[in-house]
Amino acid sequence: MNEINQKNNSVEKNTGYTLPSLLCVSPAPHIKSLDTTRALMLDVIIALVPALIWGIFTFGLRALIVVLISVASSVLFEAVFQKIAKCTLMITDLSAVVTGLILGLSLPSKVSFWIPVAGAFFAVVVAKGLFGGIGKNLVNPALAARVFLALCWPEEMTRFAEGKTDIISRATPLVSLKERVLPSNSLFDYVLGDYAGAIGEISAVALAIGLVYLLIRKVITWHIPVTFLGTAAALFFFFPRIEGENGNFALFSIFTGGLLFCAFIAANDYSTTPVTNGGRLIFGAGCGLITVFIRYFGAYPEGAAYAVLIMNLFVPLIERFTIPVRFGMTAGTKK
Amino acid sequence: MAYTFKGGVWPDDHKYTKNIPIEEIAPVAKVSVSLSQHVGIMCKPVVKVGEQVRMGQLIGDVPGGLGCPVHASVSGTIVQIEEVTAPRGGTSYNIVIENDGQNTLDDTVQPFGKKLSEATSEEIIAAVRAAGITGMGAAAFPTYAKLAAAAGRADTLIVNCIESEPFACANHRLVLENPAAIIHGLKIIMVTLGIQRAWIAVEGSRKEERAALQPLIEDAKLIEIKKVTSKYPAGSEKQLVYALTKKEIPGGRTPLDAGIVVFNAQTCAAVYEALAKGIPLVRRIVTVDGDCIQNPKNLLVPIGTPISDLIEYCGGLSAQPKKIVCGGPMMGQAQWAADAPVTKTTAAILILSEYFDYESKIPPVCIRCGRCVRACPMKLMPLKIATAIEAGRVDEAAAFGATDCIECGTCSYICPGGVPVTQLAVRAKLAVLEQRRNDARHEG
Repeated sequence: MNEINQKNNSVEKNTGYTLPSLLCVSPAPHIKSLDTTRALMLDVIIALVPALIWGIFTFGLRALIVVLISVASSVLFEAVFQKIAKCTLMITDLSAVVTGLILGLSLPSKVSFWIPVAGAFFAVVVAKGLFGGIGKNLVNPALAARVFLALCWPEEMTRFAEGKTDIISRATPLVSLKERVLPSNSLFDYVLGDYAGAIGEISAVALAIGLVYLLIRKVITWHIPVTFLGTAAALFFFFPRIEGENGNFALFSIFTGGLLFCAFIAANDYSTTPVTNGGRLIFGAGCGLITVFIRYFGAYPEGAAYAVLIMNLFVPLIERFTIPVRFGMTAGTKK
Repeated sequence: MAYTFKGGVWPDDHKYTKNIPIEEIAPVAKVSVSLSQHVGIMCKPVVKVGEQVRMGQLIGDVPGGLGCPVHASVSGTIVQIEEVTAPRGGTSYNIVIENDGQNTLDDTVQPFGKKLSEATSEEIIAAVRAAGITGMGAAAFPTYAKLAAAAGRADTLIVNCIESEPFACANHRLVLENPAAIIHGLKIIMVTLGIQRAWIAVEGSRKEERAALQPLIEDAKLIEIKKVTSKYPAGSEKQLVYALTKKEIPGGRTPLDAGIVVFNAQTCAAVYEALAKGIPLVRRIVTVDGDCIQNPKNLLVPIGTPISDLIEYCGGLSAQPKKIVCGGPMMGQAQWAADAPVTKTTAAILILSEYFDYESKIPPVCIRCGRCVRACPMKLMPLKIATAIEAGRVDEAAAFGATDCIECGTCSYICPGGVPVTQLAVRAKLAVLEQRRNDARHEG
């Protein structure tokens, strides 16, 4: 030991730093990717900013207030829940902010202010916290809350404000499509996002910007957005509800309602989607299929959120059937 | 187009010593040569305390079975045979030699007596064993045993120049400064095994390595340079073989199943040194780096040099160290004391400050992002193995292929939730292997 100390002293003389007699021992690897959960969640928040800005621009400041209430109450409920459940406080991972943001953006701007609070409670406490928190919840918290709110307070959840030019909207475009009538607005209004709808769902352009950002930052993979939208679009096109209007019907169906919002952003929640690429393809296709089924045959004009929730429940099964073939286990090289 | 494989990650390469030439370290006061530097049975000392030894003299050997002899890396006096705790637990012994600074060569250090064309492969393999050469990448498998197993089975030799571990530049410097030794070693192995085809695998981004090797290749039909995509773990044997041949070698099998044998570039150079000059494996190139090192260097050091001497030779510390890692940052082992010696597989010594300490205040949580599944070069589902073993379900871990894990560290590196996935997978692997041993015992 003396020798070591002498050696350490000589090192110290040179530089002023000492080698501790016992060093920190930890398993490899000793470097880490900087993509922490918090960084990924921050990227999702950034990806939703265009949709939020467009919502505020279209529906006014009330839209911002609704979203802020949703985010603030999500974070608050998460903190309180973790305190009561005696878990480590994890709100710094920003996942509650993302949940609140997705929930807020899926609400109409004219809802009563207690609606986002009730939704946040259902999302963060019931759908997520009680199931064990981030990574363990079975269903997408924000979408579960949205469906919960729609079932309990349908009046509140259809208080859509009109878009900037869409003054005389009698029915929302989805209800109109359900009645086999093409909506009165031009397709351009729906692509850009100038019609009565939920705060963050109306603008396809803003959501597409968000999607591209998430893909570039490698936060999500292309599998779910592409198969979700692709399956739905194909079904809309080949089996339209309006005879002879295949193209128009498909386009109007895609650009209205929550389909793009779910496919591009909400359905990509890590906890509630398969971890394998193959599984994600199946998951996305299933979401697209169920969305179309609900829109065509269900009681509701909207189907995307329900579709995602139903597919969430299939995730363990999908994962079971999409286990990657291990290295060296492909046919012919088996042990 | 560079050859590549599926999965993997792209960590910052931290190759700060890329352009720093290899330097021979000044004589150190003492070396402590470990008796278990290789896969197989630990050596027994063949010298006594107080004995005078010369550089290259045999000091520890394995009487029979798989093992690899060790030699005195300096000349001097044996002062101690100390008991130490091996990095993975268990007891090991180090032979401590006080250096007289003379580097007097032992009489046994003689070039291989015969012309290669006249020698039998058994004779060459025996010479390689006598030189104590092990794989110098990471696995430390005795080279003679690999040669013996490959004789008659291998038709292709791959020389692995790739260092996908960040920081490590030892192979890179060797390729630039002594490419002839690698080529000569390669030819010796080709002759020994009667192989007609050799590939030298280099990273695609290393033009200068190709430029150094290319002029030395006389027969382009026999020896070919192959570019492999720079990503981690491109240097891993199974991934390298897949990249070049598209053949997947299952866990528990060796590339010999596909008629391929892989040797590290430094191993090839060691084979050449052993046969041409008779010098056993007593020195190796070590990259000394990390954010606490004043002057990072690539050093040629005697096996057994204590880490603290390397730090001192590199100008001492420039920041308060927290960890010392023996090897690269992805797979290297953190040491608990700075007097741990360099072994035959120590490619790098990293002195890291708390900047490289990633312990988070938030407990690690799997958010099921699937990054580990996409990155795993063995195409496993690391998160499932980790979940299974945390719940004590050894059978489930086995079903997910825990024993195939090559412990490359990719899953832990990529995990956003900070879960020590690799550590859990290794735990699972050991548990599965132990269960299998127990089952076999009960059946037997």
